[in-house]
Amino acid sequence: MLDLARPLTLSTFDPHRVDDLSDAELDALSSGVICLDEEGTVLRYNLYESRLARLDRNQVIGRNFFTEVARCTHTGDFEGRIRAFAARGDAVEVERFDFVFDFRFGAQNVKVELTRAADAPRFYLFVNRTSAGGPRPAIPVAQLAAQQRDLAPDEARRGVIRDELERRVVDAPAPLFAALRATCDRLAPETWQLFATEWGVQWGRRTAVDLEASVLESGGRSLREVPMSEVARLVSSYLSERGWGSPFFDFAHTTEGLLVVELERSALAEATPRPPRLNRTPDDDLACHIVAGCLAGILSSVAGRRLAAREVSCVAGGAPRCAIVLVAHGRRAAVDAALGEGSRGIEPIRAALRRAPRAVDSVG
Amino acid sequence: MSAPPDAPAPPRRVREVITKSEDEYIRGASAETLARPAGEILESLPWEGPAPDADALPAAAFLSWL
Repeated sequence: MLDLARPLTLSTFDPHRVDDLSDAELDALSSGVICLDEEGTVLRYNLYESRLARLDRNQVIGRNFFTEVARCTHTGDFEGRIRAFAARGDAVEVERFDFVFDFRFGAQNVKVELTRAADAPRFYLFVNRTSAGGPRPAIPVAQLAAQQRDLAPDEARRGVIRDELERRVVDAPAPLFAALRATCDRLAPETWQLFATEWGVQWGRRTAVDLEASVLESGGRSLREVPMSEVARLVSSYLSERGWGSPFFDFAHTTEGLLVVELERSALAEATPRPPRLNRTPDDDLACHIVAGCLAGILSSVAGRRLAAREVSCVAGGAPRCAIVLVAHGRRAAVDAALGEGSRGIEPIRAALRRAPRAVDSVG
Repeated sequence: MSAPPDAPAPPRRVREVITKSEDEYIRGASAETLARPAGEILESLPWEGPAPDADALPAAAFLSWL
């Protein structure tokens, strides 16, 4: 199983399995991954690489990596090594070297691990950043890596919006999420909590990758290594700056294995009609599953273990504030059972967890 | 293919940066704890719950912890 909390290295991961990793698995890594064919055409390009190169992979895939995407690699020290590696056939499984990626926005020191797919002419580059800084003054513009606007110069006129880090964004009004829930209520109402939470977890894993990149760019090494207060600030600001409300971490019950996050002014809660609708499902009064899942995805990455998050009270159900609890994944059944019986709020969930027997799958 | 280096960049969606004070996003732990690495803190939490209290738990639940 991949350890998503730590950068992937071919010292601990079987190079022969690289080609078996799904795109979703590659996107959950805090390491850049680039797959090239023998000519240097980009075949795969993961989320972390896209984030740190500030390039949209939709414009990167299919282009020549050395001459169109990362012109700073069009050198003997990089392209030459890869071509020589390719020419050596199966003689060498992994080659490692250090390099400096030069972008207009700055330089990144990287450690590159190069390997080949087991049974196809494809090559994988694992790129682990060791530091990021400002642009190196002596590098000619022609040798800098491409910018997003080089690859897609007129995209703004074609309905493409990007944020300050060149990620494509969509201006999604909060009623979009109310419409999503209304659709689910109509078609498969029993699935909403499961669907929305898992959607949030997937989002949270990608957000953790994003936050890892932010930490690296601000001079740190990894989310796991920065102080707990800084991680709480990063996560709270990340969600607030994107309009989801204001998360507040409460460590008061952590001795019981319970981390509480209160969510003020939740966009999801405020987009949900009040008072609660017809209570057609047991959790009809809870609206913030997506944010709960996101928190589980992020904090699981930092904790190095699988956590589950459940909203236990919600403004949409008339509570004074939204509250989310994070527990070991194996203890989620006890929380779900209490919620299913109608318990709401932190104290009833604490009591239910104290009564609950130890879950057999609680580790991991 | 490349845009001229001095060409104006297309508009970007720049988010407002929110600067929060610590009492706006965290509570319930000492300053010393919060200054420790996040990975170390979250790994060390007793996620499985505290040790069971034999006087408070039903016998069957207590035995399941053993």
